[in-house]
Amino acid sequence: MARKRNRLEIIYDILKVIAGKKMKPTHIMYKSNLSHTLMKEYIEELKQKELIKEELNKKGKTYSITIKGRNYLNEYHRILRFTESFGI
Amino acid sequence: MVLLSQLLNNLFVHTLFLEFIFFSITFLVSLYSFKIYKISFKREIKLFAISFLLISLSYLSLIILNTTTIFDVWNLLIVSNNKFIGNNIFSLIISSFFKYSQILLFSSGLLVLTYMTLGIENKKTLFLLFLLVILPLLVRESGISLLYFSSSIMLLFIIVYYINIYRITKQIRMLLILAAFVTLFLGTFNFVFAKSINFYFIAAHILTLVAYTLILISLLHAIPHGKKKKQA
Repeated sequence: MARKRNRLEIIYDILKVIAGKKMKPTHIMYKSNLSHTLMKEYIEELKQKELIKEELNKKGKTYSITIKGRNYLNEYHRILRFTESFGI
Repeated sequence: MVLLSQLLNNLFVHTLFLEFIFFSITFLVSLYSFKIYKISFKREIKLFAISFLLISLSYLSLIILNTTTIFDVWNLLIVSNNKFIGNNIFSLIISSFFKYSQILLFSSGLLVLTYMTLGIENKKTLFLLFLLVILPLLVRESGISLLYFSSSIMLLFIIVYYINIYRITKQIRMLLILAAFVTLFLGTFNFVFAKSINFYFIAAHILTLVAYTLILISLLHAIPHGKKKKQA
């Protein structure tokens, strides 16, 4: 049985899925393996923290990664090492 | 008299040196934690960073306090008939300010760290805990010893948190940080009895040095070495 992901891992998975593309919420949900409720929750948080940005067009909402989001992806290993070292 | 003053002077200088090490290590941990928080936006990391910043400021207060104490010892040397002429009121106020701010900052730092381990998000609770922690200082003459005692209690909570983390993760590096906080607890508890320069005072400093050395090792382990791999 797959181990339950923690918050940092879920954010990493979402950003990795979005990186370099403009994605619709449903695609994000399936590709990052999240429930609709959880996906909405995380998307809101990521928008608030400016890790992703929302765009509205005729076909609906899409999300793309920001510079902060890319930075998170690039520095993920550093975040992980820190949290593992100090048990946070 | 000269020998005693030399001994006191040496002891203060060594203590100052140790406190400078404690300040440096805790400040570095705080700085790096803030850096990680800027990238991750994880609340617990922010609390961790703030707690170590407060603890580092407490050691800075102690450095300033002990520096003024050294100057007072020098004052004693130049006074004739072993009498301290002209109490320097200003010096007294400054040293009292730094004495109390040191323990308050240290307790506040531990309080924030304990709050982080509780896993709750309630500013009112944090404020209530803060009031409970500083209450002994407002009410009793031996408030400082009581504050060290309550700091020891908070460290016990932190130790239990890390024991649980170790039980879940089974990672050896968790043992390292757990050992650090156990040693810090023992050091802080010794300060309860260290009302003057005695065995407890020296033991407290040595234990605290061991604790922060372990924390420094954890920090060095947390900093990745080698080239960054760009993923996106």
